[in-house]
Amino acid sequence: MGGMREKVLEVVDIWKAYGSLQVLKGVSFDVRESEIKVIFGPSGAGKSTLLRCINMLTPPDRGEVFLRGESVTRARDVHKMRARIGMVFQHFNLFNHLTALDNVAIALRVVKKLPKAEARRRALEALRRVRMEEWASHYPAQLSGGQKQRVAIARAIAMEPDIILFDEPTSALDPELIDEVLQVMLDLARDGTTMLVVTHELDFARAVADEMMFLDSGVIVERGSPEQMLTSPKSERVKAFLRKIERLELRRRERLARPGV
Amino acid sequence: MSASEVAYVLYLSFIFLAKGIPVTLAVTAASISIGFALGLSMAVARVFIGFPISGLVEAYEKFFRGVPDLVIIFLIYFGLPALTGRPIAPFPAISLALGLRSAAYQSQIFRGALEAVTRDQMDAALSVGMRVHQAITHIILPQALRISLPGWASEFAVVIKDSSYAFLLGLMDLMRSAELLRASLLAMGLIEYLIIPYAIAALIYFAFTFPISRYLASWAVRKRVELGL
Repeated sequence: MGGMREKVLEVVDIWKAYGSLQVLKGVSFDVRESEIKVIFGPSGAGKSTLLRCINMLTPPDRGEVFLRGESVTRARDVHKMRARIGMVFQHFNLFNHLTALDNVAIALRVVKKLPKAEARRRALEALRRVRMEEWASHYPAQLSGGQKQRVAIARAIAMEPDIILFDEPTSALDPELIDEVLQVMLDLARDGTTMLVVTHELDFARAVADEMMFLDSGVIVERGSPEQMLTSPKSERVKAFLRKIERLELRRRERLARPGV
Repeated sequence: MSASEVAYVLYLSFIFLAKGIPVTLAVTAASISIGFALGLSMAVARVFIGFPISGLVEAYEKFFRGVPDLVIIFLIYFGLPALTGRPIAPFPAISLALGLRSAAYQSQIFRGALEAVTRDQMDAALSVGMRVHQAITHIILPQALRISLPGWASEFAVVIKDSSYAFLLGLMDLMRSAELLRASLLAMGLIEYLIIPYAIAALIYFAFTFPISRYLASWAVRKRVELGL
């Protein structure tokens, strides 16, 4: 079914080293319209670096990224391309000095040059989609982690990007705050948002991912449907990793089931 | 020492010192503004441009932090005319000298604050499509300025106090008017009151500097805590 849709993102043979440490060793894949692809793998595998290479926060050493056929890596104006690629960070990265509303509105004003009232209207609409409109006038320091991440998602969707990159959006959250963020991401998925998600939330992947990619030591070791990856992975590394994740998941559920522990 | 004498001296003090206050405030305002504009520019250049600007800024800071205020003032007031062939008036001379000196300190205050705004904030600003200068203006600077306020407030108080050097160049500032009053009291033979002009000048300086360190700085700290900066 994916073959019919337009390629939104093409990642072609991305390489990146930090000094002598080779972090990415030729990663290629693409994401089509309304597709959701999940990247998972052990820490240090290069997942964050990969996302940062895609929007040129960290320029890759080699390889190319295309957004709807236009090169991002060789773009004359990389800022214009970044405005079309949303990013949600592990640690939210909200602008501390701005209210939730202004966190969302600022790029609409500064980057999209929208008039104040229009930026405000769109920002409120984005906050409504993540169920944060009642918190519009609050500062990040007054919000919980889950609320912060929902504002960060609103900040990304308000720009109406072609694709949104999620860099472990729930891994810095307390267990009881994870679901509210995943719920918002599920809503976006159902609305047809094109997403590339680095996450270890296997339930999320099972529910909405079109494809899962296992990244380890800078290469995609295995890829496939969630069904295939989660029930019968071919690689031993994937099997071992999934067992570990499931153990952690189980422990989290137990903790949640026994409040106060 | 009689009550009427005391009242008279206090009355004279009020007349004399009131004249000096505007000049002191004007020198302070001019110096702090020069120091702010130059200091902030140097800090931004040092943090966001780096080599080779950062080396120049560092040399500038080292020089102006390592030389006494008085030497800087004389360099400008007597040295600059020798270079340019045109005399410089006392007001611009003192403002420039104190401004250049303050810039070296303000640059360090702002640099620390800029570096305290984490790389995360720049990443987020770039990720929504901002250009670096937009990210600096809209995201980094507003936070850095809040972070720098306590340090900046104490530098402000230093500049208020340093403005008393204006008296050396003959400007009618608070210090000079206190000095004139002392001379008048001496001429009138009111020798036992000679401490009053300076005591009142001290009180006035204190009245300007105290609220700045007391309220501005603590307001800034409170604001930082609120914003989680």
